[in-house]
Amino acid sequence: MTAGWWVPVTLVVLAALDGAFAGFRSSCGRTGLIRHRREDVRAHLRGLATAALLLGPVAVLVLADVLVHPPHWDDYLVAGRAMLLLYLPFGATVLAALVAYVVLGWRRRFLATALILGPFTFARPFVAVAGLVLAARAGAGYPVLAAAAAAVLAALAVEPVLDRWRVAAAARRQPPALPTGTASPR
Amino acid sequence: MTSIRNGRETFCGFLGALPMMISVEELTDLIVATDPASGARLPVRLDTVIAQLTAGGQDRAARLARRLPVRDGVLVAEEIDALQIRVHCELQRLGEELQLPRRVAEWLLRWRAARPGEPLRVVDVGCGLGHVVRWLAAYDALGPGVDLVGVDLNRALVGRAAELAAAEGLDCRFIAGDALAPGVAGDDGMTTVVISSGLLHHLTASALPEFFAAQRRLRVAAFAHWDIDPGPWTTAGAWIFHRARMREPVSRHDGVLSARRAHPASVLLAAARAGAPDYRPACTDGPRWWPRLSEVLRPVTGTAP
Repeated sequence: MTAGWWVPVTLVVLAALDGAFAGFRSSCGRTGLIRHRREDVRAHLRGLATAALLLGPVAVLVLADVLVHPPHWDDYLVAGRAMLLLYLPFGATVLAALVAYVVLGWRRRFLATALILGPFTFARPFVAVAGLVLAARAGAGYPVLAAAAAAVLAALAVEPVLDRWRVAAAARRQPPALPTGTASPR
Repeated sequence: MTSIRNGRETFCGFLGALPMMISVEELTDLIVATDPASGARLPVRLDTVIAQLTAGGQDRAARLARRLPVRDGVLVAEEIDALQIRVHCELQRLGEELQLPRRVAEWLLRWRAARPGEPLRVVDVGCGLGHVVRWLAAYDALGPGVDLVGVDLNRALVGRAAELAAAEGLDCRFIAGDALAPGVAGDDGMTTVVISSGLLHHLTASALPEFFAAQRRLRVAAFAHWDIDPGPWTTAGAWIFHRARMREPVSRHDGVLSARRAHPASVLLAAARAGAPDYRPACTDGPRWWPRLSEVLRPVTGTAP
């Protein structure tokens, strides 16, 4: 049962990165501030924590299932390998674009956004579901597919959950931190 | 290219290979009204907005408008202000990804290099939340001795811009008013460069010459207005990016419409030559069917004689 541990480990790493990036996206375009690096770091951590919170129960259920029914381990591996066929190149491309974004000058940095980061954010939910389809085609059974579907749903829910949390938090703040005021005098 | 339909001006745009008639109305243009003389906020009736959108065939926009907060048939001003601020915060995020402030700074630095030591005032017309002005101030991008001013008709946006600048201790200022009216943003045109970003597509082609003429009357040293280079690739990109990045349905709707309404370089150049004939205008578009990723936003510029 120890063979193939790289499959769940890689899936967890990808889910953690995806959660962190979802947290960042949820935080972007909220405050209007120019300098927001500190808030960006907090947003990544918040996304990571939310992903752990949402995906944790799925991981516990899978672990419990494998402990109770050891033969299921191979089924999970089959599904995981099939999903990674899509998720690994997708994630590697995003990470390469992020490295390019950090390293390159601003004109090429823009190209990393325009060619990869923007379109891949758009494609992300479709790619997540396509991974499920690959798992099904690889012959994963219904219990395994249900667990995989729950994990995909949990990963896709990170950003909407954080968005709702932000809206609720903003509604609680009375008066708002930066209230709308009058223009500076001429 | 413009034509008249239903008594209003419409643009001829293209999505893929199919020519389409694009109504000029963006939701954010319709839901706020200001008295041009006093600058006071005017009430906007929801049924008027919906009637305008429906008459132009903008059913989706009309559906979005029906979800806006209303009191006694009038859009609730405070809620609309909050919506506008959220939309502009999202726009700022997109501007960051498009490297908009760096593009502006690059052009201004090149322009200023030929005039070292001269005082300079940069006036951002229709500045919204003043992203470009605040970025220039935050990174001291133009060096010392530069007066950075953001001007917008929308008091809520200008007010928030001023608050954000104060929160970050930035050396720039914001004014609510018509930037091209004499004396609003300053009296010395010869030291002034007027800039804007994403403003030109809000003006009809027939209104553009007057926009440039107003800058000529102020005798500004130069103008540089960034807007979207229109084309099928830009429209497709705008759709994908607004789906991926924007949360507000109004942002998504208006963002894609902006790309479809953007004026081609030929229209901008003709308007600049008509309105400011003694300025040297410049603006280039690439081949229509070839994506120019690095020039998604490009300026129409003009320098005083």
